[in-house]
Amino acid sequence: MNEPLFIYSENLLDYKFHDSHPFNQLRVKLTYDLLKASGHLSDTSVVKPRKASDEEIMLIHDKGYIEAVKKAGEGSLSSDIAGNYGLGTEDTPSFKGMHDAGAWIVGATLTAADLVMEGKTKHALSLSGGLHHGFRGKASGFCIYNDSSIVIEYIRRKYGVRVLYVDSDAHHGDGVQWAFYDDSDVCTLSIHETGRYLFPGTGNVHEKGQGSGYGFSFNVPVDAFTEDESWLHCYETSLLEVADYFKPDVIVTQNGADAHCYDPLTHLSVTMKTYEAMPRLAKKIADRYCGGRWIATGGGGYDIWRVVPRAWANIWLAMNGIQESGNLPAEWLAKWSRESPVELPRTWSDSPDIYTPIPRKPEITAKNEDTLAKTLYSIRSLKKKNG
Amino acid sequence: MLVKDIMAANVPVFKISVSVAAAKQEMMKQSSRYFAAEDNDRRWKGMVSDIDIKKAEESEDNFISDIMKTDMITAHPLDSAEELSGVFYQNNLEYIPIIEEDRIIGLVTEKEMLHTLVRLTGAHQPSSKLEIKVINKAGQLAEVAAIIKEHHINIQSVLVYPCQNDEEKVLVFRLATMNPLPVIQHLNDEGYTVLGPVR
Ligand SMILES: [Zn+2]
Repeated sequence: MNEPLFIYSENLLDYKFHDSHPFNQLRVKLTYDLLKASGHLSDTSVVKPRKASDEEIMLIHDKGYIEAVKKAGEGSLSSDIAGNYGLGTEDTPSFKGMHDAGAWIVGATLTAADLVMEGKTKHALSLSGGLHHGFRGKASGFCIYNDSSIVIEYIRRKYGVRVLYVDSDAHHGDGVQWAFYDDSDVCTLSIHETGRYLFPGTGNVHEKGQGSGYGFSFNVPVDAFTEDESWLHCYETSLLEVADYFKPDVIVTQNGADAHCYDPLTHLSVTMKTYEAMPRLAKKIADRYCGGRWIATGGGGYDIWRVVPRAWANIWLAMNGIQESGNLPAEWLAKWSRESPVELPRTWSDSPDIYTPIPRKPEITAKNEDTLAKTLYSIRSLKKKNG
Repeated sequence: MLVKDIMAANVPVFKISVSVAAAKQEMMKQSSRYFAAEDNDRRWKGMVSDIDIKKAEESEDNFISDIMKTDMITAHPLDSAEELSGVFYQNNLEYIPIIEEDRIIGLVTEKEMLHTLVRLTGAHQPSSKLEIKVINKAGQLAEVAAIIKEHHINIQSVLVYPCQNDEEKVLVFRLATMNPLPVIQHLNDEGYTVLGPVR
């Protein structure tokens, strides 16, 4: 069996802080439904996740932190202690069963990893995962357990391979970068909006790793209001050059969909064009360097109605070599229009006039070009030296 | 923050009576750039840099005491770290020896100073940055902070920037949240100008 696999079950939607929190996993179900309605997801492609064990979560997180998350989920952690672990905050409020909810998401991404690494498939998709801000002993930026870091450490130990992590969330993939900052077997590439205003504020071009990991961290912080053309140019150029330099055994992509111009939390101006192109290049790289081995996750994405379902469906379509255009399935629109507080898009692609033109476009494009050159400077000079 | 919290301890030391030739030998084993000079009672007398030693003549009567810098600006471990940055700035210094009761107990170089300033701005902690333009009068910082408090959001750091004109100031907050939108909305409703990226 070499068909791509889709990790899904409804209990992955239990990762829910409260009704008005911007992080809402209903977007995973919306994506699943969209793929079902469009006839691109058969039941035989769907695999149920397992739940991650405490030992697996401890590949990255401290035992004390896991205990605190368990207690917070039972309502028995004092608010002072919770605060030290980044729990019970506005970003990561405590909720009933939060440990289990987090452990299922980690398990889903580990399930995807095992399927790929054991050769059951070349590409696997874990859309509930891609939480990239969580630290060893602290929740951060809506993330309790960092399934992205855990899955990388897991495949590194279990299968002894070198991993390229590619993060195209609008926010810097700080949790993953710092977890592997001194590790030369894990290369991280994050393209994101500059931390000038945006959370978490890190991810500048000079964060390159340390010790033996120096030169294995890459950051492309783009200017606010970057549009498709410049974003894609940065993504494609950096991914092609970093992959050629690192020659990974497997690729893990984090596919946050919060760089879209509709996203409420960020200030970028990309459209569906970007979300159609990115997974297709990731697949090409996986096929070229990794015998196809590609584990893809979700990530951020806070316009769960107009952006995330189409953006994430495109990862699955790319895995299957399918290109969609034209209208979205009427069945999906009819079902979810009733629930959506905003008018749903009718088509797979965005029209280019969904945002007003950006007056600073030439300046932004030139700035990003300069940033990209700085990010890739070490690789390019090495290449020149070696002819 | 105090100087003792940011200084590098364990400064390598030469006795002032050590010859330049011997110092050159010893220096090869060290990775330090700056060395303290002490007398036999371990009293601090001055500093020499690796470059001073390299450049110095290896004649028989050339000792550390002949090449060391004396009459330097020093600081006390209980001095304020913030103020020390002003001392660096005003005097164009590369480093400042930290002296307590005639003994050298540490060194603050430009590197430590920069790390400290980064920590003071809160830039090393995950946060969203909010810049708010306010009228230059008493109580504005407290009023803005009170609004942030209403949203139960932890403030990682605050900076107050002067504006080009005297009538205004910019308050810069680093907030421990990925979602500053409710705070921004609240500040706008209260009539504050929240600065953001420009299209
Ligand atoms: Zn994000």
